[in-house]
Amino acid sequence: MLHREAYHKLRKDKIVVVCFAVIVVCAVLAVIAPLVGNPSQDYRGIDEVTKIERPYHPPTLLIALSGTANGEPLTDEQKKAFGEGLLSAAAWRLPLGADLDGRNVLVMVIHGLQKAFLIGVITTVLAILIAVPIGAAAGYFGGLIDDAIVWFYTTLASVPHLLLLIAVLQSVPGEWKAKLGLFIVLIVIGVTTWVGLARLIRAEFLKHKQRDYVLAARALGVGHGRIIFAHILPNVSHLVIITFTLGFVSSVNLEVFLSFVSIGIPPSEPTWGQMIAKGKDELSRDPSIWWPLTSATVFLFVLSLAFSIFGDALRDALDPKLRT
Amino acid sequence: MALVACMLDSCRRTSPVIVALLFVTLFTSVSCQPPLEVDGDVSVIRRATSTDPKTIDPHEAGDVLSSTMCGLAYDQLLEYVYFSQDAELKPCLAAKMPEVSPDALDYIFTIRDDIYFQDDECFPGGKGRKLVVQDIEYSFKRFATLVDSPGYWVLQGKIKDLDGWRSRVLALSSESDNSPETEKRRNEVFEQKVSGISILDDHRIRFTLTEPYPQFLYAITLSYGAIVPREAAQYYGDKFSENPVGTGPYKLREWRHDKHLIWDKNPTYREEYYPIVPEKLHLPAGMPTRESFLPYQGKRLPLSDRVVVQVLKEAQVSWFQFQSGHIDTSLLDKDTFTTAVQNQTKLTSGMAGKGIRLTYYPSPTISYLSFNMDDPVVGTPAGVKGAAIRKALSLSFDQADYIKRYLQGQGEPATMLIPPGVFGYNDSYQYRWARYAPEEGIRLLKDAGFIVEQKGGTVVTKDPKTGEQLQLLVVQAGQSTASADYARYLNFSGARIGIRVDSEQVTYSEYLKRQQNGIGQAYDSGWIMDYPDPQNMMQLLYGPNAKTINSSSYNSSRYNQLYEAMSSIDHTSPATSAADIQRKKDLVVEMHRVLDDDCPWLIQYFDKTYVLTHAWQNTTLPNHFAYNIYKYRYSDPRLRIDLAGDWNKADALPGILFACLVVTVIVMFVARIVRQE
Amino acid sequence: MWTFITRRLLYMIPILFGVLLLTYVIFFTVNDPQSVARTKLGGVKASEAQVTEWLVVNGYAEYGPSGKKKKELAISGHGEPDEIMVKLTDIEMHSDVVLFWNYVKGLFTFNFGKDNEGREVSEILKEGVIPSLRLVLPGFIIAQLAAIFFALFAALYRNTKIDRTLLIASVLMMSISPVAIILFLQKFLANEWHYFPVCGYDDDLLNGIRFLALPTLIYVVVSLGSEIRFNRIVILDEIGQDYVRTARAKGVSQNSMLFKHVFRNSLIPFITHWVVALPFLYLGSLLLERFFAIPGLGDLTIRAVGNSDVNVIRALVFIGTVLYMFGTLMGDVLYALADPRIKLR
Repeated sequence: MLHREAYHKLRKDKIVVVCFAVIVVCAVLAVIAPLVGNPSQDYRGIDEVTKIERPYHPPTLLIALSGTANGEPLTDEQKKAFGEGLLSAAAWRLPLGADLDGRNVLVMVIHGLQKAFLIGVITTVLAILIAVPIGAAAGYFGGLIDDAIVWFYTTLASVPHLLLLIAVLQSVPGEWKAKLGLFIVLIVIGVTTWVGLARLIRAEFLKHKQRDYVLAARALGVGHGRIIFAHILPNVSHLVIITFTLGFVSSVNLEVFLSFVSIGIPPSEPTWGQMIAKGKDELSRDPSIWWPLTSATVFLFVLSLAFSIFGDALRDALDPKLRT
Repeated sequence: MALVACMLDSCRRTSPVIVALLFVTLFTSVSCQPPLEVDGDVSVIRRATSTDPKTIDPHEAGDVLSSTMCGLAYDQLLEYVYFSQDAELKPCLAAKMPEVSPDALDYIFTIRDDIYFQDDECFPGGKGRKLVVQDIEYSFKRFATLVDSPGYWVLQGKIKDLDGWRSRVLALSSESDNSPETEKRRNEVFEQKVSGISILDDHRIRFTLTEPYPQFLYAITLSYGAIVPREAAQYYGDKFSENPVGTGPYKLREWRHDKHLIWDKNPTYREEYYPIVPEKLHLPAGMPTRESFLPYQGKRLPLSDRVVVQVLKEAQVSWFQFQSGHIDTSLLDKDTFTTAVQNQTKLTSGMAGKGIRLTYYPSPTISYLSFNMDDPVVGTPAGVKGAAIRKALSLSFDQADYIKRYLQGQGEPATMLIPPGVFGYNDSYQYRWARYAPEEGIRLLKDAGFIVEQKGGTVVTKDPKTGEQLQLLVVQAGQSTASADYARYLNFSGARIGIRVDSEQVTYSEYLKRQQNGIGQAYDSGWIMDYPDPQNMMQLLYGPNAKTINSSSYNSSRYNQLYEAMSSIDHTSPATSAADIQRKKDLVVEMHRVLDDDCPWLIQYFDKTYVLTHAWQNTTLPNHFAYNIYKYRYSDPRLRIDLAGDWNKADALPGILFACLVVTVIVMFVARIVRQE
Repeated sequence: MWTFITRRLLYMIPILFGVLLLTYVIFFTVNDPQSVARTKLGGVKASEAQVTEWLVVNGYAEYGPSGKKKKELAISGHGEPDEIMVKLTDIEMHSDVVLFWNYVKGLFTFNFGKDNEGREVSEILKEGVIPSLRLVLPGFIIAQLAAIFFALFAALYRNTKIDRTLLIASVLMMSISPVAIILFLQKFLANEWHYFPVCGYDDDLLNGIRFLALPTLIYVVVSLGSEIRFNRIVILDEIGQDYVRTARAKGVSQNSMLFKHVFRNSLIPFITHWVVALPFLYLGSLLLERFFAIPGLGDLTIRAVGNSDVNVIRALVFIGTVLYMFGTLMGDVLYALADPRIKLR
């Protein structure tokens, strides 16, 4: 339910347009990730271009600029071979280098992007699916239902969120974890983050149910379900959109944190969190292998930035009074 | 607002150069980096651990770190000979080796007369008293009745009357009933004589066993055999695990949980000297040379005045601290490995230039995948088919490649269950399935009646009954990058012979539950040997141990017989004939031949430990079973300051550059504001 | 006013009950005591009798008829070891109601039990909370002051390029992963250039400053972005109010208006924001404590989770919840005190 006015407002702002473009490009990349390559393919061995054996591989551009690989300067022969091969496709097979397992960092990052979208979308959608009916029921019906719901979500909100998340993750049975892998984490994030939105929705419903149009609909004998979903909900849908964009970023960042403290996320998943957690150890090597960590961080940065700016602008355009 | 305006104004007026200088001074002269701690002439050993020790109660110490910490404060009746390569024992608190009766059931220990406990407030007047033979009895009784101790298995069923007495004491220690009477009754029962542990006179104590237990001396040399004074255990009660009072070389001064432990030299430590280095000390590559031990011969132990143990949870941080000389030694994990070591054996030039030494040695630890022999697909119920799957999978696993890829070479392919350096290791034996031959594996599968489809590089093995691909689910404990690497590699190995191997990572407690109840097809396992007797390893496949330590529930009557015969031979006792010792070795090999037929395990590798040491600390001989080797360590405080004194000097250049950057940003910003106004 | 506080306090009871129920369900029904016992007793090496004894001694179960008989036999001093060796079938696990009641009783008497290593949880918490607060509290205060400064600045130049730059800068700061900030700043500022110690903590406050400097700096950098953004919105909101427009129409100068009126009125949301955020600070910073070897509660949390240390986690959750509820109550009261338009009911 994007209002036309808001749409025009957004379109005028160049930065917002750029951010939106970034999001779209990222979404496309996420969808086509399986076509880009297999993240677990192993590229270790002799490099065709430089003819050096490597346990890992620095980004091609880095070799070109620094003239060194793995901390050792290239010999003249290698330089020559590299110079000649620079224009070949083989030289750019690992544009962002390979990590210690010989995995192509670019492919990993793009698969990580796919996971990031899965994480962002599934958690927020789940949270919205829980929050909207609950918030709507509480606000619309009031009375005992309202009390019970408010009690329930206040209880949830009273437990520090991270602790709640960790505790629930810890208590998920092992079989589920094995079967569902990453998804169990997404579900847990989803079911622990819906309270904020439910509160907003409830407050809006409280306001709207006294409005004339609702009273009129009721007088005409329209059913409760119809009033909630067909009449009031469209008027508060902007909340849902805003929550989506802002919740997306926080979920993606939460995954990074959880991976980092190794809670919940199976280490085999090619997520950015896992790349950063693993990259941390590789950083202390000498010469340090900083490209997997840096690539994941930069991509995470760009995606968060785009979503945050876009989300802010969207909020300002849709509901200037709202603050989160 | 006046303040803001004033600030902006001053920024604008002051020449950026001055601001830059300000930043430089801030970053360099007032640098927060503390210089290296100067110890004067006090010799301090500094090491780091990644976790806080669980306990310093020797009777509860089940892990390596806790045992090592206990080794600083406590002694056992016996200890490992420092310069021995066959894990010989020598008397420690005992005056001589025990007298053993011909039936190998009675062990009579005579205790030394010159041992004093550390001075502590639990003793009258704060002065540590002399060790008496009653302390030995008390310590073993205490160990036996600790409900939280993970170690009772070493004595269970072994000492006459001990189990029954223990059950009586524990029956009276329920929390639901802690009335004074029960308490009194408990103390009475505790004081009752245990016929297996009897005091003969002021210096002698006799242990009577229920059956010959050749590993007995090793068992009581574990941390659990530590001798503690009754006064301390009673005075500190629950807090005894934080207030060690023993006879050992170091006394705990401070334990700040999750931060550090500081140990001071025990001033009343008995007169003990660094042993004479044997003439024929030949150490394999990676170990220190004989010469490096010579300077310490005959010096009074402990060599150092203080031991500081820092808790550093991030591996990266302890690596930083090692590089800057804040800690003396660093266990190389695979992640810092390539920084320091080239070709698995040589230090990189940067490290060698700092005077750092590298030692590496095998450790008696094996990693393996144990198949659940009760499973209908891979176990005994599946007969030939199950065996074929186990063997084929074992053949598809390339040990050498795995070690090279994921352990950075920090491992030795396992050829049998017994690690090198431990009695029973036989380099002419090779476990039949511990080699890389996937084609043979495929053949085995075909022979067993599976349908193997090979299409251009990919192999799919199907069950003829269901027509579906064979699948195997491995249970792993804990989530870590290492276990993920392993899972990936197993999957990759399975693919070579067309079996889909997945793994499931569960919490440690869940993992234990699975093993207990036999849920799961295979378990990712490992074993650190407790003492250097092959029995300790071979018990992992002994039938009656099924569902406890025998995670694969393997039960072969032939193996069980051989095991019983093997474990009853004491190869360390001088009374044992050479023929019997040889027989024990042969029995170990024979047991392996039984395993060759059944393949209950996929054995992978023995660990190899890599240690980096700074030049100021002496080299210690590794012994995985001994926990009291800190007394042989020495750290030279002067050399440390000479070498590492300026490893921590602040580097001015990046600070200046950063300052310039900040100043530029501020100036640009101010300029913009000025334009705005 | 007092009726309001009483009402709110009464209202806290069902919430607290809910939280207790929630944590009970999460920690007790899922982590069954048997596996806790096994983990504790050395894993595969633990015998059945040991596990049984442990369950009884730790109050998870009591002996049934057969167990009692064995026990009596044991106390009498007769009986063969085999006869008195207890088995899991000899005990009766306590029902959920009994365990829940014990659990609630324990929490309210601040008897949190012992952790997996046998240390009193309340002692561990006492030891850990000071380092945590020393790290987080100065960081929080500095970040808030800086955020208000920048937010006022942005509001002063609102809708100009300065405002825009500040806003984008703060979103930029928000978007960098905190993990990356810690890793890079620690590696370069501490390990490579030696401006700060790599890690450490000192109980002595003055001596400890140099160890806390870098983690505090990182804390500020990590939290500054979102705080600036939040504060800016609050201030702009206030500027949009009618009274500001009136004041400006009357010719009150921009600066004095901003500082005299707007800032003072924005204090209300700021204070509520602080009061609600403060209780969470006791947990310290999970990552910073780990990387800088600060013996605080944040790292304890991670470790407790890793070890499934039920007693520690539930103590942390319980204290966190109670603090949070008092925080919100305080926030509401302060809100009412600061803004006479709000009526407490």
